[in-house]
Amino acid sequence: MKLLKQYLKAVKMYLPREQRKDIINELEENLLAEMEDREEALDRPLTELEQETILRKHGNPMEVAARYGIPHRSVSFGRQLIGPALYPWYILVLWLHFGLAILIHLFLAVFKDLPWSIIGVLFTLFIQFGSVTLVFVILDIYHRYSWQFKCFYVEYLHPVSRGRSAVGLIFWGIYSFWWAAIPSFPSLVLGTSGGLILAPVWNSFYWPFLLLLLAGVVQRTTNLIRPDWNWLPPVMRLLINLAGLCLLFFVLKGGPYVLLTDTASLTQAAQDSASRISEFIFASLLCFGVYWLINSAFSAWHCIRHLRYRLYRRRESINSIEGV
Amino acid sequence: MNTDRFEALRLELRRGCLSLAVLAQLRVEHYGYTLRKALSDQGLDIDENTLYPLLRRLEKQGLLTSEWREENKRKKRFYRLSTEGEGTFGQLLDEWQKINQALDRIIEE
Repeated sequence: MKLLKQYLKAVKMYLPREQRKDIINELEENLLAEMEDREEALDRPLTELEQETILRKHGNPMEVAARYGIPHRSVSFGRQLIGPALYPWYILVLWLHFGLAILIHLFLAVFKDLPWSIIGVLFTLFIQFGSVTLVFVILDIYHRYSWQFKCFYVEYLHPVSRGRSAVGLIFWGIYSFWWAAIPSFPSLVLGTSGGLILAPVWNSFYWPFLLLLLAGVVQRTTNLIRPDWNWLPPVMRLLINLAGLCLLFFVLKGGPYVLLTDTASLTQAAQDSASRISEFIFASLLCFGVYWLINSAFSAWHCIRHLRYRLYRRRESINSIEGV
Repeated sequence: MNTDRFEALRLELRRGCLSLAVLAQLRVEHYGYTLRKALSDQGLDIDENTLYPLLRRLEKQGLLTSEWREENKRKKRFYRLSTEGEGTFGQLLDEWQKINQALDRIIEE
């Protein structure tokens, strides 16, 4: 009942503090009873997507909460611009801005001898009012449309979007071509400025990096054909990032990354330039390393979620076979 | 546009009737979901987001009493008509019947 918990958590956020627990307990009971009723009619447990349908039908958490006696104050101009859930925050932020603006005007008038003018203060307040209102209108739109994503987006329930796979395929394809073409066209990395060549250290890492890029292409192509293999992206991301990190460890130990051609190495300026480029490449690789490390951690977390879900499904199917 | 106008009038018409229907149904104890089902089985579909807050409002007004009790190993909140609610329900029912009879006469004219 993960989805139900997520949904109730979203409703809870908008409820008055003193009634929160009571309302949520009651709502949980009623929704559970509805789900059980449906299970009884179908004679099997509900799938997550069926649970999702019931909760979607129940409505937007903000609107559900608003029915439970939150004062129905809102900002409207033709249509509701800031709903009751955000209204108290809007008023609070607005007063804070007004207070702060007046204090700043007072401070400038008293301590900096700047002239105090009512028009100036009113203009500042008007600007504050406009900007705070605009921000809250945008927040309200966001809240109204993002609830489904927040409550129900559980990656292991949804197939990988074909659009996402296609875009990924284009990008990873371009990277792979670029990397594959470097031995024949070194200018793809160092440009056409003469005097610099890639150091031999890259030779040992050429094929491993190309394989990693091709693995990315294979994953996106596979998901384009089989979007239902939603476990593939986190698994591949984890493997690619970990392998990338291992390679990077050796690359970082292996500098310099660019060398000078025989004719160019004669000048001190060219040597300084080559050394600066090597340092720049080292720093860039280090940044990549940090990014891959964070990405690996996220991917590992996603893999664990998928694994837990699959184990849960397996347990559920064993239980249903055994009639537990 | 006509549909919107009809919808607004329909909601207005239903609003008063819903409280009466809920009070009538809660002469027998129910919790939220079974009450909704019982009303629906008798032809009065009521949205859960209308019903559940309505129950709390009627309880706050003293017309209903509620009690958390365990059923099927889970705690549920059962509502029923309070003594005060019974009196009010009787009065509302009289009023409803008067309006109904008057409407019948007006429509038949």
